Amino acid sequence: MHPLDLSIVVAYLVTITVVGFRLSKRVHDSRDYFLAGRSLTWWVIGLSIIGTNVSANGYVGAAGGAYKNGIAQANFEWIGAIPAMILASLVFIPLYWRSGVYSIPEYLGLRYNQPVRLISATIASVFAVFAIGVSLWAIALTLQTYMDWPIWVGIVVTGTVVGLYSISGGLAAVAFTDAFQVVIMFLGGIVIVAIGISNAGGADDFARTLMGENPTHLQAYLPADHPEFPWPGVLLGLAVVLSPAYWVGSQAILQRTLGARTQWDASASMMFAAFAKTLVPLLIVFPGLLALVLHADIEYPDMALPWVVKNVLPPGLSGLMFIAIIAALQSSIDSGINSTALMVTRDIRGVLVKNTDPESELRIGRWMTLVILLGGMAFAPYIGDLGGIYFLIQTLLSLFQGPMLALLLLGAFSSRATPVGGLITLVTGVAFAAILMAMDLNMLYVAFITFCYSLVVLYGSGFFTQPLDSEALKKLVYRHV
Amino acid sequence: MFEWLNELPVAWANNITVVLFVLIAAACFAIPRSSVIADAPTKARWRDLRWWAVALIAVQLGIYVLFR
Repeated sequence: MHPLDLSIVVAYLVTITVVGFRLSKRVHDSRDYFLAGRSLTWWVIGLSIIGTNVSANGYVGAAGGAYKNGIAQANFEWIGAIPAMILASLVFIPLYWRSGVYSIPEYLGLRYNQPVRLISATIASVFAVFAIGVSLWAIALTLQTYMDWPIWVGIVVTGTVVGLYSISGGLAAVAFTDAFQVVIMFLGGIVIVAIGISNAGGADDFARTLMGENPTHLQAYLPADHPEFPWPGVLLGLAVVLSPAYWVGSQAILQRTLGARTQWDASASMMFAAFAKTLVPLLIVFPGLLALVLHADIEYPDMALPWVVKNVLPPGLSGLMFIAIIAALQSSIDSGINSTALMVTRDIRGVLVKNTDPESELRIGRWMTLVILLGGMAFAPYIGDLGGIYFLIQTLLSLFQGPMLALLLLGAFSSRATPVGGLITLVTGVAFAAILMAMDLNMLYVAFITFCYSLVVLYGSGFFTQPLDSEALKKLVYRHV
Repeated sequence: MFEWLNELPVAWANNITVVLFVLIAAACFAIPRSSVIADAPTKARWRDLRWWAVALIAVQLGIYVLFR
């Protein structure tokens, strides 16, 4: 690595640690730790949301996907995000805010019952630990590629840096460092776009070369019989089910909005994040197209981004881009450990262990953050060997999305959804999704069918089971009167 | 089960997306302004998040019309 690149990397690591550590002085109780004392402003939260959202798969995988499928890959950032983010901003965030909860499982516990809270928190937590391990592994691989560090050194150094500011500073440290990391990510992305288009001979030549050799690479949608992204599947599965389930139900994403200083800041943060999200394809999709236009000599699509960083950017700027990738991964890890610690402390331990002492929540939360980080670090070195198993875990999680979205949507919009109906829907909906998956149906269609099934069961069960009383429903069902 | 969908032309996707975004923009205004800026620090017009949504949707419409 060039000395200039190395000095940029060291300066970044020192800055991120010092900033995060200084914020630890603000933490006095669990509300400060998990919700930043409800002090965050909209633009900090908005940037933090994007930092959490752009993960290892997002950065490297999306560039590879764009190399292979073209700009249709960006649907994950546009139709597969923006409608759901508007829904989250204007409906769900005000609802969560008014109900005074710390987490999405806690809202489900109030709206339905404690078993629903426990099941949803457990599934989300187990997946999060695996996701943290994958991000640590991805950082370690990147450090090995650029700096020749052994995998275990990369995992220990990253875990230590992230752990220092996350464990001590809680959500405030996570949100501010995320915001800093996203600014670096966008700087790196803008530099790649500018230099890349210049190297390709200008925007017109770029588009002409791309379209000449790959006629469908500038089409937002691919044909309905496309094996990976059939457009009906993208609209029905991604836009209608998977995306809303993520944007209105992900604890890692929504926790920082619950740490806003006002309800307006919370809603505005998601809308601001949606504007930034619209530009994210410049960071993660454009490098894949650029590698194609510049006729990159790569063996498989996921090498598109590393090829661009190595061959397009000059010294100093490649260090900046290297940091951008590290920053994207770190911001996913810090958000993951903080939100998982919250769910384990309050939604799992809080339900299973009766009469917990609220005073001890801060201490337990910090220990849980450490345990979850160590769990991810212990798991990380084996990710390469467990690729198939990790894919299976991701698939299993997606079985959960249809029923989960039905619970959130009907729970928020209708007083017909009942506690018993919620539990029945969650359990049978996941089982139904597993059966459909066994029939070898495209995952996007499985998500849509399971969602429809869950809506019918949840609404129908409301005719036979006992609803919550109207007083309890007041803060839990959306009414804009 | 979904084989019949394979025959649908890809141009429909962009058209459906445009209609969907227009409907979302209209739905935003079913939410009263008082609810959107409930506890905002000031009641300035720029804090009305429904207009943020409209601006966002306008950008999306441009994208899906351009990349068709």
